[in-house]
Amino acid sequence: MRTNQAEEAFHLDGLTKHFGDFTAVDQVGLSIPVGSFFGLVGPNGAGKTTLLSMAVGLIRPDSGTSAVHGHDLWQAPKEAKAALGVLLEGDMLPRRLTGAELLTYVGLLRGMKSAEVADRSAEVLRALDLVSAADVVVADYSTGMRKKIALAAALLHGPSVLVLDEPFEAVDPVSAATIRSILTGYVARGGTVVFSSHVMALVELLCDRVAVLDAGRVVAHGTLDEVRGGGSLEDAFAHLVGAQPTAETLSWFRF
Amino acid sequence: MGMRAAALRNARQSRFGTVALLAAGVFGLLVAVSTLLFGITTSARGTGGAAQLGLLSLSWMAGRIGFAAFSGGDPAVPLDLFRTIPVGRRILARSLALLGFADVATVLLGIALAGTVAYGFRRDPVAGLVGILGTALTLIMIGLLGTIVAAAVPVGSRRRQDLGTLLSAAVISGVVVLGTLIQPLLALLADGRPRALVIMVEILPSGWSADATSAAAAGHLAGTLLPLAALAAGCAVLYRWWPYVLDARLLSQATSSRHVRSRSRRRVLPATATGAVICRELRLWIRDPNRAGFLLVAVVVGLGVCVVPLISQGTRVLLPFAGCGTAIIAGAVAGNGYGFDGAAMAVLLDTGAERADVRGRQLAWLLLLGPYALALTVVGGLLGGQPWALPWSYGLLAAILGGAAGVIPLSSVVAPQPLDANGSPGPTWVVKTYASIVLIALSTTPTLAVLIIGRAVGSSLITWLAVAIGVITGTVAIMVLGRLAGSRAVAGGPEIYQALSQAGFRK
Repeated sequence: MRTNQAEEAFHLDGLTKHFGDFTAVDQVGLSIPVGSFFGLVGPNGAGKTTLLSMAVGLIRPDSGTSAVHGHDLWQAPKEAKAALGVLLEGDMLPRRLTGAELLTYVGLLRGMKSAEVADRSAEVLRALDLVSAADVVVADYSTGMRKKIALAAALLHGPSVLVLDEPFEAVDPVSAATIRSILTGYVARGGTVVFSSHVMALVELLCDRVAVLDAGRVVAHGTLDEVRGGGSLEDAFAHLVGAQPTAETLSWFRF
Repeated sequence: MGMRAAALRNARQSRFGTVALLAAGVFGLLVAVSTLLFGITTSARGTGGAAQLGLLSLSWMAGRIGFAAFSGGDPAVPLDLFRTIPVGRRILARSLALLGFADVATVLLGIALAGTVAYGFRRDPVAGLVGILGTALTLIMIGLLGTIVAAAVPVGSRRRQDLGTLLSAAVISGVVVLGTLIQPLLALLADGRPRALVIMVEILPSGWSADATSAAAAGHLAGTLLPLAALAAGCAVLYRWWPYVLDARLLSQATSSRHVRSRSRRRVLPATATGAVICRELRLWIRDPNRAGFLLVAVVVGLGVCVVPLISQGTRVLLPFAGCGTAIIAGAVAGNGYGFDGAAMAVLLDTGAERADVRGRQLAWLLLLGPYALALTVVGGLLGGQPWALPWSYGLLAAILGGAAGVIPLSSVVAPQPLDANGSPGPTWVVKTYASIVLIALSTTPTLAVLIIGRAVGSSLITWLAVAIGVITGTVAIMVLGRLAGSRAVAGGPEIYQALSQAGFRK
């Protein structure tokens, strides 16, 4: 099923998820244009991971829809998922496969030719400095290496939309610079990136569009300049989520 | 205690999990009560009776220790938490030792070992009192040993842990195979033979309580006091040793060296989604210690239960069915694929390859087990020397292999059982395994019916026709149950993933 939102890379409408009495995500709607570098920010527990998990089809929403290039994720999952590249968390990968085996496995699952999988795997492993770890099982990887091999798996089939939950978490500075370079090059060639992060400086550096999520609701979204106004994103964020700068300390700190 | 109670209170449990946990508890209770009843009713006296009770006590002890080694301790109270907390070693050791007794296993053990108390009171009130003391000391010893073994399970590198899991699987396999020998052995022991086994059962600490009770009934003071003193000394030694084991456990390094695997250059399997899943499955069945352990259990137990009658009764009747036995056990233990793989289900949801995954799992299992089970059936048939059994073994094997390959993915998607925080399957998984055995056995009904008809009318043609029926029903089971599982995985994939990722699974 193809809707009339084809000009949008991602269209979320009324996404809601409850876990028992707790509302993790509440009526979230977002429109993400093709070619944008979209940042999703919010405090811990705001519902970012749940929202992204629903948006890519890992968790079924209680209500609402998600469409990739106009293809509804639940009505036309094949088309929607073919266009999506999702950064999976380290524990979501089959940990007893080596990095190279993992990429071959994911590539073939996506219906790619084996020669193409081999060529692209070699290239992405080289780009992410994982060649020496290609034949080591993922269980023996560090957290940062798992993040990088997961990114390699998400990029392998050449998706037009990338969804990345905390892609820079635990990644060393050199690899982070490489990832930034890969992602900006990807957007420059027409790809769309949606990523969540707690690092405001990074979001300001990379993103042209931003949404702020708080307690499961979008409290602001738009271009980076629209959301941050005249100040920094960090100040705008603190204001939007009602956080006050604090000089708090703990009563037993006496040395 | 408070921490464990809170963890149990907060544990998420599916409806199947709750039912399975109850069923496991009821099963354990029935076995424990039957052991108690044996102590009440056995007519054997003297050495024979003591040896019988000692053997039962040994079985319970081995089961309890084997489970402690396999599960690696109580995930509700992770020992690593105490690495950075400056609690005195003795206080911590004492608290954890006490905690080791606060579980259902102690209650079941208490009921089972009370058979010795009943045995004693039937002989003499003093023997009964000695039985109480001996049983209490045995319980303390088993509880302490369980706690020590659980803490001693390797936590260093991942490879050491893997080795520990495989060794535990080997121990459990041995216990299960020996368990099938219990009945004939009990009958033999009643007369105080074979002498070597009687001596072994008497010498092992598990038999000391029964030795003391039996000696008390016979009025032997030294024979009564010596085993009791030895039990008390054993408990004291374990209690003094435990803080050192705990210390070593809390200071052990959780480092892991990297092991580079050689890359295979040739691709034997088709470069398709299903081929990729088969490849992954074959690797995981070898590399994942849980899976490899289950295969080991199936291979040892499947062969063992068919060879045991040859050893104990001298009959070869079960030899041709070793392949069937292995296949049915291997099928039952494989029926929790998604539970074993946990959050890795996300890869399938991400790529939309659920149906290919189901087919791949089925074919990989058949590739792994089929040739082995067939070879075992051929060899068993030749060694068995019973021509009548051949169509039975081949027909049933075909039906079982197909039925199992159908049940494996279906039970995986219908009731996925997540692994606990230690990466071990909980007691609910055991119930699921038994349910799978029943389902796989049911899939042989048409084949079995044809075999029985053939036997009844005395037609070897009809009997051999059962092989074709087995192949047909097996193929149908693979196709139909596989399709059902695939549809279920597509329709309910997000729910399965949610159940597995919310279970706190971290492999």
